[in-house]
Amino acid sequence: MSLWRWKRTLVRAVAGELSSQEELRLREHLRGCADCMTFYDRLVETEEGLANLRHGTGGGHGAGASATSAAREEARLREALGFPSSPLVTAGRADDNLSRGHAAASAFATKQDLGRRRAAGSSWGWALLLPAAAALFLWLRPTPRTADPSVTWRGSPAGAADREGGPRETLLVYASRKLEGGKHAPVRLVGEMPGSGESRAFVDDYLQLALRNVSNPAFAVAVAFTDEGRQHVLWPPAGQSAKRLVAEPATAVPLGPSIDLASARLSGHLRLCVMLFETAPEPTSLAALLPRACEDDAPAPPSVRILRGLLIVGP
Amino acid sequence: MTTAAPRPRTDRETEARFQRGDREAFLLVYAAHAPVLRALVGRYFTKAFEREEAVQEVWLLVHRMTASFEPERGPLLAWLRVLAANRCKELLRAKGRRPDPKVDLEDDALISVEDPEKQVRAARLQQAVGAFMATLEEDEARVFQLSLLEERTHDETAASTGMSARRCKYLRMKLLLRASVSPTLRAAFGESGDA
Repeated sequence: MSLWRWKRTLVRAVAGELSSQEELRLREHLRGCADCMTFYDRLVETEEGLANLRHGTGGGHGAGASATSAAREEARLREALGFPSSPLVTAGRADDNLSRGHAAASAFATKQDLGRRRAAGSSWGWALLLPAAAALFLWLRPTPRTADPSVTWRGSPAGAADREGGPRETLLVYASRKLEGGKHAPVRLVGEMPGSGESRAFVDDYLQLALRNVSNPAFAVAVAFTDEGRQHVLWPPAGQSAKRLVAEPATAVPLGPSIDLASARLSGHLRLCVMLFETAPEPTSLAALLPRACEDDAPAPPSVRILRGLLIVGP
Repeated sequence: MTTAAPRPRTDRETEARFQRGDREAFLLVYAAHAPVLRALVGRYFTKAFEREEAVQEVWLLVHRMTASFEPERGPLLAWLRVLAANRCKELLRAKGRRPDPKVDLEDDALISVEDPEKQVRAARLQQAVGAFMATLEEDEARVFQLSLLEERTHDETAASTGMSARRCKYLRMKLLLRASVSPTLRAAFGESGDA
């Protein structure tokens, strides 16, 4: 079912037709969906294999990326590092005179044209037209039609909410290198949990946590567990109780100010855990929940959502 | 005999700027060495998505570690390869896996095209592609050739075929999807990828 919904996006991604934000969203999905990942792998293998044929190589894993996949790789890297995106570097997958929304629309129009042509050319035309029309209806139905149908394709908040299972809370982990004079380097996204599973920062970094897609009301408690079993509450600040988070859909809410990893003596393999409560947690119940919060099979009331992930803080 | 396209080289000055964390120099280093690192990572991660994620991780690590590069201790590429290999091993460990012992990780010619075995496989793949193209309609076959095999832009494909760029774009995606499920091509790719 998931693959059925994502198939078109996957093809567009491999063809280099997605924006970096759309691609980011797709990759988040791919990390948790084996079916889509297999389908994606096959598409990439085909796309690269065909392009490599020109160079006389038989392909092989990563032996030579196609121009499109090399450009996508660079775009992803630039996005992650906060570099300005380069002009479309390769095969010109997105033409100047075609917006991506138009491309989707044209794909639909051309499908109709093809369907019409084939039906007309066959004596079975009418018999085939009915199932084709039904299939077309089913194909189009899930996408809510608004004044601008491309909006949901672009991953607007509405698009995000349309994902399978609705929007899920995501813990965003940002880091920024400390510089002299109390300054810091540009902030970079190091992980999205639970999607990333593992992220990496350095001991001379400032760490900033944020939550995305928080459903209101929510009270968050963020904890880091060190290799030695030390428990470090990152949010709320010591002596304060969890505050209610107020967030617009699909926007990120920062969890307090940034944390100086070196000053907090946080290094090595940290198990990050964010617990989201619907009501302000009682100190006693929180104290009972905390020690095993980072474990996958930790007992927790169904109303508590827990996001977990590994943060490796290197020297 | 085909040869790999010449890649941009980095000079001492670029490497020094790279070491200081200069963004432009980093991108120059990326442009020069991305194919080699991609091929190296491809030896640890055979699946496309995993490989792409690992390549990204490697370059993010490189970006973080630029200051630790010391030109007097060795060439930049060697440093990059060590960093990449270590990061790949870490990622595999995190997934509870190990590098495939059959894979030769010490091969210097990571993107060499001089391998006769590869050429034989490429010839078989060529045959499979020919068989696949024979099943396409004429306009589809032209778009397949220009857009997917020759990697021409949509505008170039449109100019050569007389179709609109929009239709070329649509056909490219459609043909890519069809090729990915073609049993003939699957068999040929399986041979070239998993051998």
